[in-house]
Amino acid sequence: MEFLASIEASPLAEWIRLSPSLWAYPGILTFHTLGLAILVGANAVVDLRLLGVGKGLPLSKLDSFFPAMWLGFAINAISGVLLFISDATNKATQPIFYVKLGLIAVALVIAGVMRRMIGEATSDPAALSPRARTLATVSLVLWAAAITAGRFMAYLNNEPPEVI
Amino acid sequence: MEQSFATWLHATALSQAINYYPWLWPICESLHFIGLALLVGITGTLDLRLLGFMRSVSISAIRDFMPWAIVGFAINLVTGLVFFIGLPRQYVDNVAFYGKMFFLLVAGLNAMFFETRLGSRVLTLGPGEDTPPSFKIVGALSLFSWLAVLYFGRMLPFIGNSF
Repeated sequence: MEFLASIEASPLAEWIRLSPSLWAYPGILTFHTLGLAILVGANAVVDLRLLGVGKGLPLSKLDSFFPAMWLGFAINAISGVLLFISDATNKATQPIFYVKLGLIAVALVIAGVMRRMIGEATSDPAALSPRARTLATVSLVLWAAAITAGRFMAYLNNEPPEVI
Repeated sequence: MEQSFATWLHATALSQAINYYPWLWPICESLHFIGLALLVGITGTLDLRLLGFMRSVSISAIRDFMPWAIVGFAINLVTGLVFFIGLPRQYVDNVAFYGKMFFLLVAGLNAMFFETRLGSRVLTLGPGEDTPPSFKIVGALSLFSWLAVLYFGRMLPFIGNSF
């Protein structure tokens, strides 16, 4: 907890939290939203394709969506760390924050599994069977849940510490 | 004038109903971000293709995903109306709100122009062929407008006075 408090008191964290500049907290939050759109948007295209939407898009072309996903993830990992340090003691004690991280972790593992399955299926599209559809559905649900958990972090805030 | 409209709207039964359920707002916000990801993700893919990226993929193959972008838009239209009707006062004087509406209009008109004037030319484009300048302009304008919508939406509490 002391460690988190010291992060939160660092000049960078104070700048993010207190600066009136639109580049500080508001700008970082905007990048976090942009990264979300790139990451979840690109993954949703892959998921929808595996669920049968847009069959004119060859499976082999889905490969180009994964670098976009990693770009979105990188933007959100960086902006997420910055948002975290600006409010570390509070965010680190919010259970919903860990729910969000867990959902993202599982969704990313699934994205990796799907990429391998797509790679194997490009030579034999028949190999892409019910399991791919299940994974795609789970992926969509996980991302929707991760977004919801992230949004609820603003509402399930901790009570201010009690003064004894 | 805007304030008296906002005061009237806030007093309606619908606005009162929205404010009656405390969890409705965060639930709609979550849906608004889910809709945003669908809309910007899919539209952005089409825009990049119109700009000439991923040429080996046919434009019509990407367009087949557009119904899902429209689902995202519909989610955001409904949830956006919930926000506006629920707390109209934080939007009617908010410059970021008007910025968002302006670029929403630009994106909409741009998409309509593409569908009605250029849509049929998509089929004449062979695989691997570069897109004509008109496609590139539409793609660039679309990408810019949607990102501007996202920017002003996110800035509603910071440039303006909403939360």
